[in-house]
Amino acid sequence: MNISRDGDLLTCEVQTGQLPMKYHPDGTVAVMSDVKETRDFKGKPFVMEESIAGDYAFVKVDKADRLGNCRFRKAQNNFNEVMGKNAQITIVEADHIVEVGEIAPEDIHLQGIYVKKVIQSTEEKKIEKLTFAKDPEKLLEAGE
Amino acid sequence: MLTLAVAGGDDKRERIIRRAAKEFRDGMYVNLGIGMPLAAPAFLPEGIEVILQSENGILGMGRYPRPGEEDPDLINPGKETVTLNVGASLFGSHESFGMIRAGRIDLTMLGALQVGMYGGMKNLRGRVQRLTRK
Repeated sequence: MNISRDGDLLTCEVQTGQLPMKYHPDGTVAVMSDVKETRDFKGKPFVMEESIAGDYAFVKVDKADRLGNCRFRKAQNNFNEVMGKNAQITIVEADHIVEVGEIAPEDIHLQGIYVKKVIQSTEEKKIEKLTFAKDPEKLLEAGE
Repeated sequence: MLTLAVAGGDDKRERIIRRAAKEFRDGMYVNLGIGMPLAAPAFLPEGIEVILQSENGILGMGRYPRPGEEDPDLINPGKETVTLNVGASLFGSHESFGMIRAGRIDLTMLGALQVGMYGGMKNLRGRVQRLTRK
Protein backbone atom coordinates (compact mmCIF):
# COMPACT_ATOMS: atom_id res chain seq x y z
CA MET A 1 0.00 0.00 0.00
CA ASN A 2 1.52 3.35 -1.00
CA ILE A 3 1.10 6.22 1.38
CA SER A 4 0.66 9.57 -0.31
CA ARG A 5 0.90 12.99 1.29
CA ASP A 6 -1.97 14.27 -0.79
CA GLY A 7 -5.58 13.42 -0.24
CA ASP A 8 -7.21 11.22 2.31
CA LEU A 9 -5.97 7.78 1.26
CA LEU A 10 -7.81 5.84 3.94
CA THR A 11 -11.26 7.20 3.03
CA CYS A 12 -10.61 6.54 -0.67
CA GLU A 13 -9.61 2.94 -0.11
CA VAL A 14 -12.65 2.18 2.11
CA GLN A 15 -14.91 3.75 -0.51
CA THR A 16 -13.49 1.85 -3.52
CA GLY A 17 -13.17 -1.47 -1.72
CA GLN A 18 -9.37 -1.48 -1.69
CA LEU A 19 -8.89 -1.60 2.05
CA PRO A 20 -8.03 -4.96 3.63
CA MET A 21 -10.52 -5.70 6.39
CA LYS A 22 -9.07 -9.01 7.57
CA TYR A 23 -5.77 -10.82 7.12
CA HIS A 24 -4.80 -14.51 6.96
CA PRO A 25 -2.29 -15.61 9.60
CA ASP A 26 0.41 -15.47 6.90
CA GLY A 27 -0.28 -11.76 6.25
CA THR A 28 -2.08 -12.10 2.91
CA VAL A 29 -5.45 -10.42 2.60
CA ALA A 30 -8.47 -12.56 3.53
CA VAL A 31 -11.28 -10.02 3.14
CA MET A 32 -11.37 -6.70 1.30
CA SER A 33 -13.87 -3.97 2.13
CA ASP A 34 -17.04 -3.68 0.02
CA VAL A 35 -17.27 -0.87 -2.52
CA LYS A 36 -19.34 1.91 -0.98
CA GLU A 37 -21.76 4.17 -2.80
CA THR A 38 -20.99 7.90 -2.80
CA ARG A 39 -23.15 10.89 -3.59
CA ASP A 40 -22.62 14.64 -3.66
CA PHE A 41 -24.71 16.90 -1.47
CA LYS A 42 -24.29 20.64 -2.02
CA GLY A 43 -20.97 20.03 -3.73
CA LYS A 44 -19.48 17.88 -0.97
CA PRO A 45 -18.99 14.13 -1.46
CA PHE A 46 -20.46 11.72 1.10
CA VAL A 47 -20.13 7.97 1.54
CA MET A 48 -23.30 6.02 2.24
CA GLU A 49 -23.15 3.99 5.44
CA GLU A 50 -26.02 1.69 6.31
CA SER A 51 -27.15 1.75 9.91
CA ILE A 52 -26.61 -1.19 12.22
CA ALA A 53 -29.75 -3.32 12.61
CA GLY A 54 -29.66 -4.45 16.22
CA ASP A 55 -31.83 -7.30 17.42
CA TYR A 56 -31.10 -6.75 21.12
CA ALA A 57 -29.61 -3.86 23.06
CA PHE A 58 -28.26 -4.23 26.60
CA VAL A 59 -28.17 -0.76 28.07
CA LYS A 60 -26.92 0.56 31.42
CA VAL A 61 -28.67 3.53 33.05
CA ASP A 62 -28.80 5.29 36.41
CA LYS A 63 -32.56 5.57 36.88
CA ALA A 64 -35.42 3.80 35.16
CA ASP A 65 -39.14 3.75 35.90
CA ARG A 66 -41.73 1.05 35.16
CA LEU A 67 -42.54 2.63 31.81
CA GLY A 68 -38.90 2.23 30.77
CA ASN A 69 -38.10 5.95 30.89
CA CYS A 70 -34.40 6.29 31.66
CA ARG A 71 -31.99 8.88 32.93
CA PHE A 72 -28.21 8.74 32.65
CA ARG A 73 -25.92 9.99 35.38
CA LYS A 74 -22.85 12.09 34.47
CA ALA A 75 -20.98 10.53 31.50
CA GLN A 76 -22.98 7.28 31.58
CA ASN A 77 -24.73 7.78 28.22
CA ASN A 78 -21.97 6.73 25.76
CA PHE A 79 -23.69 4.58 23.14
CA ASN A 80 -26.42 3.45 25.55
CA GLU A 81 -29.04 5.92 24.33
CA VAL A 82 -28.52 5.38 20.63
CA MET A 83 -28.21 1.57 20.84
CA GLY A 84 -31.31 1.54 23.04
CA LYS A 85 -33.23 3.36 20.34
CA ASN A 86 -31.79 1.25 17.52
CA ALA A 87 -32.50 -2.32 18.63
CA GLN A 88 -35.76 -4.23 18.25
CA ILE A 89 -35.65 -5.30 21.89
CA THR A 90 -33.94 -3.13 24.51
CA ILE A 91 -33.20 -4.46 27.97
CA VAL A 92 -32.20 -1.87 30.55
CA GLU A 93 -29.99 -2.53 33.59
CA ALA A 94 -30.70 0.27 36.07
CA ASP A 95 -28.74 1.36 39.13
CA HIS A 96 -32.06 2.58 40.57
CA ILE A 97 -35.62 1.62 39.65
CA VAL A 98 -37.95 4.48 40.60
CA GLU A 99 -41.65 5.30 40.64
CA VAL A 100 -43.24 6.60 37.45
CA GLY A 101 -43.13 10.39 37.65
CA GLU A 102 -39.99 10.58 39.75
CA ILE A 103 -37.80 11.37 36.74
CA ALA A 104 -38.80 14.85 35.51
CA PRO A 105 -40.09 14.66 31.91
CA GLU A 106 -37.32 16.91 30.61
CA ASP A 107 -34.70 14.77 32.34
CA ILE A 108 -35.60 11.60 30.45
CA HIS A 109 -32.73 10.67 28.11
CA LEU A 110 -34.03 7.36 26.78
CA GLN A 111 -37.81 7.27 26.44
CA GLY A 112 -39.81 4.25 27.57
CA ILE A 113 -41.21 3.70 24.10
CA TYR A 114 -37.86 2.19 23.16
CA VAL A 115 -37.53 -0.06 26.22
CA LYS A 116 -38.87 -3.58 26.64
CA LYS A 117 -37.59 -4.62 30.08
CA VAL A 118 -36.00 -2.98 33.10
CA ILE A 119 -33.77 -4.98 35.44
CA GLN A 120 -32.20 -3.90 38.75
CA SER A 121 -28.41 -3.75 38.52
CA THR A 122 -26.60 -5.82 41.13
CA GLU A 123 -23.02 -5.24 39.96
CA GLU A 124 -20.65 -3.14 42.03
CA LYS A 125 -19.64 0.04 40.25
CA LYS A 126 -15.87 0.09 39.69
CA ILE A 127 -13.22 2.44 38.35
CA GLU A 128 -10.79 1.03 35.80
CA LYS A 129 -8.10 3.76 35.84
CA LEU A 130 -8.17 5.79 39.00
CA THR A 131 -6.30 8.93 37.96
CA PHE A 132 -5.60 11.82 40.28
CA ALA A 133 -4.41 15.35 39.65
CA LYS A 134 -0.72 15.88 40.28
CA ASP A 135 0.46 18.62 42.62
CA PRO A 136 1.73 21.60 40.52
CA GLU A 137 5.04 21.54 42.42
CA LYS A 138 5.53 17.81 41.81
CA LEU A 139 4.67 18.38 38.13
CA LEU A 140 7.52 20.89 37.76
CA GLU A 141 9.98 18.61 39.60
CA ALA A 142 9.11 15.72 37.28
CA GLY A 143 10.18 17.74 34.23
CA GLU A 144 13.79 18.17 35.38
CA MET B 1 -2.14 26.30 35.05
CA LEU B 2 -4.41 23.26 35.22
CA THR B 3 -3.05 20.36 37.21
CA LEU B 4 -3.13 17.09 35.30
CA ALA B 5 -1.37 13.81 35.85
CA VAL B 6 1.64 13.32 33.59
CA ALA B 7 2.78 9.70 33.39
CA GLY B 8 6.48 9.36 34.10
CA GLY B 9 8.80 12.38 34.31
CA ASP B 10 10.41 11.91 30.91
CA ASP B 11 11.99 15.06 29.46
CA LYS B 12 11.30 13.95 25.85
CA ARG B 13 7.62 13.39 26.62
CA GLU B 14 7.29 16.79 28.24
CA ARG B 15 8.91 18.51 25.24
CA ILE B 16 6.41 16.87 22.88
CA ILE B 17 3.51 17.83 25.15
CA ARG B 18 4.71 21.43 25.56
CA ARG B 19 5.10 21.82 21.79
CA ALA B 20 1.64 20.40 21.19
CA ALA B 21 0.17 22.81 23.75
CA LYS B 22 1.40 25.75 21.62
CA GLU B 23 -1.30 24.84 19.07
CA PHE B 24 -4.07 25.89 21.48
CA ARG B 25 -5.80 29.21 20.76
CA ASP B 26 -8.11 30.99 23.19
CA GLY B 27 -11.71 29.82 22.96
CA MET B 28 -11.03 26.68 20.94
CA TYR B 29 -13.12 23.53 21.32
CA VAL B 30 -10.54 20.76 21.54
CA ASN B 31 -10.75 16.98 21.39
CA LEU B 32 -7.85 15.13 23.03
CA GLY B 33 -6.85 11.58 22.15
CA ILE B 34 -5.59 8.97 24.54
CA GLY B 35 -2.00 9.32 25.74
CA MET B 36 0.14 12.45 25.72
CA PRO B 37 -2.64 14.72 24.37
CA LEU B 38 -4.51 14.38 27.67
CA ALA B 39 -1.53 15.97 29.44
CA ALA B 40 -1.34 18.96 27.08
CA PRO B 41 -3.82 21.21 28.93
CA ALA B 42 -1.42 21.30 31.88
CA PHE B 43 0.83 23.46 29.67
CA LEU B 44 -1.77 25.95 28.46
CA PRO B 45 -0.22 29.42 28.17
CA GLU B 46 -1.45 32.15 30.56
CA GLY B 47 -4.74 33.70 29.55
CA ILE B 48 -5.62 30.94 27.09
CA GLU B 49 -8.80 28.99 27.80
CA VAL B 50 -9.96 26.02 25.78
CA ILE B 51 -13.06 23.85 26.15
CA LEU B 52 -12.19 20.17 26.12
CA GLN B 53 -14.46 17.69 24.39
CA SER B 54 -14.37 14.08 25.48
CA GLU B 55 -15.81 11.85 22.75
CA ASN B 56 -17.70 9.66 25.20
CA GLY B 57 -19.96 12.67 25.69
CA ILE B 58 -18.49 15.61 27.59
CA LEU B 59 -17.99 19.26 26.64
CA GLY B 60 -16.07 21.07 29.34
CA MET B 61 -14.02 18.21 30.69
CA GLY B 62 -11.93 19.38 33.64
CA ARG B 63 -8.75 18.32 35.38
CA TYR B 64 -8.17 14.91 36.98
CA PRO B 65 -9.91 14.64 40.38
CA ARG B 66 -8.23 14.91 43.76
CA PRO B 67 -8.56 11.88 46.07
CA GLY B 68 -12.17 11.74 47.22
CA GLU B 69 -13.50 13.59 44.16
CA GLU B 70 -13.36 10.57 41.85
CA ASP B 71 -16.64 9.35 40.33
CA PRO B 72 -17.02 6.02 38.46
CA ASP B 73 -19.63 7.61 36.19
CA LEU B 74 -17.28 10.40 35.11
CA ILE B 75 -14.44 9.11 32.93
CA ASN B 76 -12.67 9.98 29.66
CA PRO B 77 -12.23 7.63 26.65
CA GLY B 78 -8.97 6.44 28.22
CA LYS B 79 -11.07 5.19 31.16
CA GLU B 80 -9.38 7.66 33.51
CA THR B 81 -11.43 9.49 36.14
CA VAL B 82 -12.00 13.17 35.32
CA THR B 83 -14.01 16.17 36.59
CA LEU B 84 -16.33 18.67 34.93
CA ASN B 85 -15.69 22.40 34.60
CA VAL B 86 -18.43 24.92 35.34
CA GLY B 87 -20.57 25.21 32.19
CA ALA B 88 -19.95 21.62 31.11
CA SER B 89 -22.57 19.64 29.19
CA LEU B 90 -23.12 15.90 28.90
CA PHE B 91 -24.53 13.86 25.99
CA GLY B 92 -24.21 10.58 24.10
CA SER B 93 -21.38 9.45 21.83
CA HIS B 94 -23.58 9.92 18.76
CA GLU B 95 -23.91 13.63 19.60
CA SER B 96 -20.21 13.78 20.22
CA PHE B 97 -19.27 12.49 16.77
CA GLY B 98 -22.07 14.55 15.27
CA MET B 99 -20.49 17.77 16.46
CA ILE B 100 -17.11 16.56 15.19
CA ARG B 101 -18.52 15.76 11.73
CA ALA B 102 -20.32 19.10 11.70
CA GLY B 103 -16.94 20.81 11.94
CA ARG B 104 -17.62 22.36 15.34
CA ILE B 105 -14.47 21.03 17.01
CA ASP B 106 -11.55 23.36 16.25
CA LEU B 107 -8.65 21.05 17.04
CA THR B 108 -8.02 17.41 17.79
CA MET B 109 -4.80 15.88 19.07
CA LEU B 110 -4.27 12.19 18.47
CA GLY B 111 -2.05 9.91 20.50
CA ALA B 112 0.00 7.37 18.56
CA LEU B 113 2.82 4.90 19.02
CA GLN B 114 4.79 6.16 16.03
CA VAL B 115 4.23 9.10 13.69
CA GLY B 116 5.89 9.44 10.28
CA MET B 117 7.19 12.79 9.05
CA TYR B 118 4.36 13.05 6.52
CA GLY B 119 1.69 12.27 9.07
CA GLY B 120 1.33 8.50 8.80
CA MET B 121 0.51 6.95 12.15
CA LYS B 122 1.13 3.50 13.59
CA ASN B 123 -1.30 2.27 16.21
CA LEU B 124 -1.62 -0.93 18.25
CA ARG B 125 -2.96 -3.02 15.38
CA GLY B 126 0.03 -2.15 13.21
CA ARG B 127 -1.95 -0.55 10.37
CA VAL B 128 -0.73 2.76 9.04
CA GLN B 129 -3.38 5.49 9.05
CA ARG B 130 -3.19 8.96 7.59
CA LEU B 131 -3.48 11.79 10.09
CA THR B 132 -6.18 14.26 9.07
CA ARG B 133 -6.42 17.84 10.26
CA LYS B 134 -9.97 18.68 11.35
